[in-house]
Amino acid sequence: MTFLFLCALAALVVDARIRTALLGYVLFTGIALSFSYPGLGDVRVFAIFVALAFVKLVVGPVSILWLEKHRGLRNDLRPSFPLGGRIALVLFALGLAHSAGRLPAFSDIHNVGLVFFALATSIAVVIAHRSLIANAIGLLALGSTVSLAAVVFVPHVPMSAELADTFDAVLATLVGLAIAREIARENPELDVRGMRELRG
Amino acid sequence: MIVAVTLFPLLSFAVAAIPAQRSLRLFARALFSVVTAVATFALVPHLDALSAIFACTVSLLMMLVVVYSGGLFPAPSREHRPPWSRPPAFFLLVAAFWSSMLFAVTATTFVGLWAGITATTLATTFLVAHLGGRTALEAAWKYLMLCSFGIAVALIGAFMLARAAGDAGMLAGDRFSWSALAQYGAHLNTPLARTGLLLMLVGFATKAGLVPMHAWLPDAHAKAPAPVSAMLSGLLVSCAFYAIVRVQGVTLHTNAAALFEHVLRDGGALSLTLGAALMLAQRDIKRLLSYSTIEHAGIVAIALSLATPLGYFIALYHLIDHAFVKSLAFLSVGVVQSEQGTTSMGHIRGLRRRPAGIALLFAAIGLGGLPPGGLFISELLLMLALVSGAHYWLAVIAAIALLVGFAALLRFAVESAAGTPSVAPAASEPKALLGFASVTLWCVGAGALALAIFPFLPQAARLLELSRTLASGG
Repeated sequence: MTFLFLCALAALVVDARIRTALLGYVLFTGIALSFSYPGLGDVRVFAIFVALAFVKLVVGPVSILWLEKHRGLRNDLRPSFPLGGRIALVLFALGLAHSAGRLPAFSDIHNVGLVFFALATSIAVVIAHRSLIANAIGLLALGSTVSLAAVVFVPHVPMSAELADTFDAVLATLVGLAIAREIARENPELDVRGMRELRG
Repeated sequence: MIVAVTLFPLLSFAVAAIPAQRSLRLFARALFSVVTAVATFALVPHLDALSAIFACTVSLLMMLVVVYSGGLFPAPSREHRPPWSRPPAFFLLVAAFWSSMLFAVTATTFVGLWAGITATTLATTFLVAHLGGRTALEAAWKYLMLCSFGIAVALIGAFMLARAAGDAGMLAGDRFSWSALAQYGAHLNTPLARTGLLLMLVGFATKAGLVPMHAWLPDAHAKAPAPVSAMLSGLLVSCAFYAIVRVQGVTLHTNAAALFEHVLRDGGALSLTLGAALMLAQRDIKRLLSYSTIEHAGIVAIALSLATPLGYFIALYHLIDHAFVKSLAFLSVGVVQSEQGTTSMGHIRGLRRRPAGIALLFAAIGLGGLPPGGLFISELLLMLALVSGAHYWLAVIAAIALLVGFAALLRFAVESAAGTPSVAPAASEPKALLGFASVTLWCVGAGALALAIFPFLPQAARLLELSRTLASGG
């Protein structure tokens, strides 16, 4: 399971195709959700879990696919580095997560390395690609990372926190995609290189 | 009752969008804004002093911004009109922003605070992109991405803190409540709690625009329409600092206090110096004011890093005063832009000949820290606090940065006050509505003037009392 988890996250950064990255995201989110599966004991909690899973696994990815189809985008995340560079970035993230997990602050927390790896790859997917779609996928992955962090750090996290986080991640993605749709009018490739005039 | 007041702007503005007549919609929005402001003041006995100050400031300024926007609606470019830029959508987003800020400052747990702050991002992204066109859309994208990542880090920090509290034996229901965490502070002297508190600081500092997490701020504030810039610079930054004060309230009870203050002081010093230096390079008045926000965020962060009653007094007073003066500056820029058709500092002329121009000059000089403005008082107090705390180098750096920032604003004031307005007044809005906007400017200006004399009033003792409570970790 851990190996599958790592591969799914690595695919987000390494592969340059939108659909493969989305597949990686869905796999990663599915595994992250499996950590917090509440069982069938409480119907209300189970219903909320199903709603969260639907929003994360279906609404987010489908809206990205819709934009890709609607705008006729190429199935390309426009990588910033060659394949070797992206693999090196994943290995660096893996090393970073491993080291962070061994810090005294986290040494007795189970699975904490996975949270740091997920966090590092969520950021890496944005760094490693120039397409705004990669930014949106990174945002979705970050939402799932926060859910994973909730399970790892606070096993009995209030459902309100997880609900708020999920809807934030997905709403942010939908808001982002609405903005991206407008940006695509003048920057059809949705390439961040076309956004260099701002000098914040 | 608190939830009802929090949701009222959103629900009432949805109702106000129903009438077909524009004047009726304007009247309904103005009425509902006044009702929300009055209801917020009625909430004060149910809130603690810190929440009450921020809730009242938010509602008072939002009321004025809504009235202003009714008079001078920021029209998007005709070629790039985004689908969300129609007036009903604009005002609904403004109401959502208002509700989310009230939610943030009246919450009692870190999750509630996080949810409120994160909702402000979602509500304001479309507002930043309201004018359409490439740069506004890109600024909105940058704002959404950086703030979403920053605020997610804050939530992970809150989870770490809750885990540390759980490990120390705290009840599950209290692990996100800052008052309960503060009482339990002595048991939170662990590396995990320290990391959590620092991550929360980094997350909320992103929203406050502190260097080096500031990259979104100048673009978003400069590309948004004037009333939105006023809300972002005046209120959103203040709400982010409110969150930092709440996190610091827990930190003061732990052994992370010194590290937290160190990070806050360094971030503040960087923001102050970089913000002031970049102000000199700006040729657009909205960008100049945006960098001035970074400069003032630095002043507040340095004051908070002192963690003394005087430091808290300076920070709170500066935040509230800055909210009014910066709102006045951006709102008057909106009127000047509609009159002269530009925000380029090289083309704005004859400000002393028009009421909105005079308001802008007054705000620019006030932001520069010229006496007798309220910001002068807080900056002077900061200098005294730094020297009395033996932070001599920081005092020297801050003094130089403040002089540089003042020079940039003074240069703008001198260049643009003289001459005659470069473009004839535009007739896009009826005169009565422009008058509506001008009345708002005078109200915000009166608020800024009232705040300038506040430290000399007996009521200042209550703010000092609150500052003492905060410095003692209360």
